[in-house]
Amino acid sequence: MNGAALVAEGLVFGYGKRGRDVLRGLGCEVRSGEIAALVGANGAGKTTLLRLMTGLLKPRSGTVRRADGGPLCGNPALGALVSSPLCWRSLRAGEWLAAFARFYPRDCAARRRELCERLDLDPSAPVERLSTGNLQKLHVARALQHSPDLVLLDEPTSALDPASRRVFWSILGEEAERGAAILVSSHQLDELEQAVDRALLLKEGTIAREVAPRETARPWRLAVDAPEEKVAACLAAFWPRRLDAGARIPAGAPCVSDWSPDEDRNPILRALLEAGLPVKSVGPVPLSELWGREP
Amino acid sequence: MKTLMLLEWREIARDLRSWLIALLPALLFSVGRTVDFSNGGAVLPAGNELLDFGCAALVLEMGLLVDLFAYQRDRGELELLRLLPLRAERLLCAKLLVALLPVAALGALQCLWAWLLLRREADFSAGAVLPALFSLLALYAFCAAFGAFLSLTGRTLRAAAAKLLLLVLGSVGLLQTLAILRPDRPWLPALLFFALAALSFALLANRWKSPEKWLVR
Repeated sequence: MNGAALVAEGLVFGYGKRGRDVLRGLGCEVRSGEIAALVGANGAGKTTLLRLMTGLLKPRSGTVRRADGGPLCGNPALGALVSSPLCWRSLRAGEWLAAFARFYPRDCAARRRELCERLDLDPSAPVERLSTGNLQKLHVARALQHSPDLVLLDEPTSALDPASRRVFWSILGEEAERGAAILVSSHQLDELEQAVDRALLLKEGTIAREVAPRETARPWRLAVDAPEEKVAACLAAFWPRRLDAGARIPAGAPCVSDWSPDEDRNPILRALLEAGLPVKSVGPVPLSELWGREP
Repeated sequence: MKTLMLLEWREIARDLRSWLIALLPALLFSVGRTVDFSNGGAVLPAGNELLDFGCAALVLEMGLLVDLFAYQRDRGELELLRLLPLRAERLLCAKLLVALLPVAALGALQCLWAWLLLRREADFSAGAVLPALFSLLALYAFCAAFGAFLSLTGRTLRAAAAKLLLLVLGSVGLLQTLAILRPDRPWLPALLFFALAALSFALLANRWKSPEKWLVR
């Protein structure tokens, strides 16, 4: 992984002259060779942030700058999907993509064909008759066909079927390996767990926390089918180091505790086994729960 | 920029409303004048009639053109184009030219047609009509650029104000045109004018059902 390809600092933005601030002093960066995800509730400002990063919107204050000093909007190194409007409706999918490709210095023909094939997009289909999912594939192919160095995608998989999603994330992984800096907004937490290097939680107009969503980097959760007192006594050597488990389970239900990703789980499990306490489950804390916690 | 203009023109050519935009002024002027001449009508002094007819048609035409671009803007097409590696000025320039050139060309054709009709008149003189022709062409160019500019850069309130202004001007132009019709044979050109004006107003609204959409983009 390399340095930052795009840096946002102190971003303040609101719609209209007197509209409330959607973003309030937000700062973050998108790094080369990395897939970062932008997550947050509806209306948290994910799309707004991506549109600021593409240069389609101007912040009230703060800056967004590319590491290479190039312009945000109209940059040939940018591949963006911030909405899915359709212009040039008379064209077929392949022609439509080729029409966009003509504005870029690189020859995109081979990459375009490959993307259409992998995403199962028929290049001969008229674009105005494409389904919502195929339209999304079309825009994904448009954003990626010129092999951009900076990729900004707003909910690119919301209309894709599971097979296409898998293909999409594998394509995105290859782009990151090539060195592209990628920022994707999404609500599909299960996908992010598998594919994303870093997730940024957008809350109340700023980045509330950064999380490494891969399982190995997340806290892990232990559920033991025994009263908490017994578990605490068994794990006396480790118990003070446990993380706050969040919601406690009522009496009679398994004892749940969360542990730092650095905490070695083997001695803990061995201690429980030797004490004859049945372990119900061991696994990463769900992302949805992790993001719901206070930082 | 040439690529962009060609792609845009191809789309405009496919849009039924675009053809109405293109044909409306020619239709208004040509049909009205042909009927008038066939019934023994005469040209008003100094070629003013050309402007009287042309202006009303022009205002309607520009209303439609503004609406076409505003519609494209509503659909986010402009935003998509802004992501292309084109400087904003070049994109704006291409959009303006897309609007300006066909309208200017059609304006010239309209003027040529008017010229051919007017040549039959005894009191015709190039010196009297040429200024009116040039004024009409200039007006075409200005309105095309202004309309396209408003569509590209205007926010909701400005665009609504521009539409209202065009509607007011269109109504004034309509009344003016009716006023100069000869009182003994006013009904046929007036009827045609009314029908086309009603159609263009309805298209300008763009959404047939909700009156509030006149003001909302």
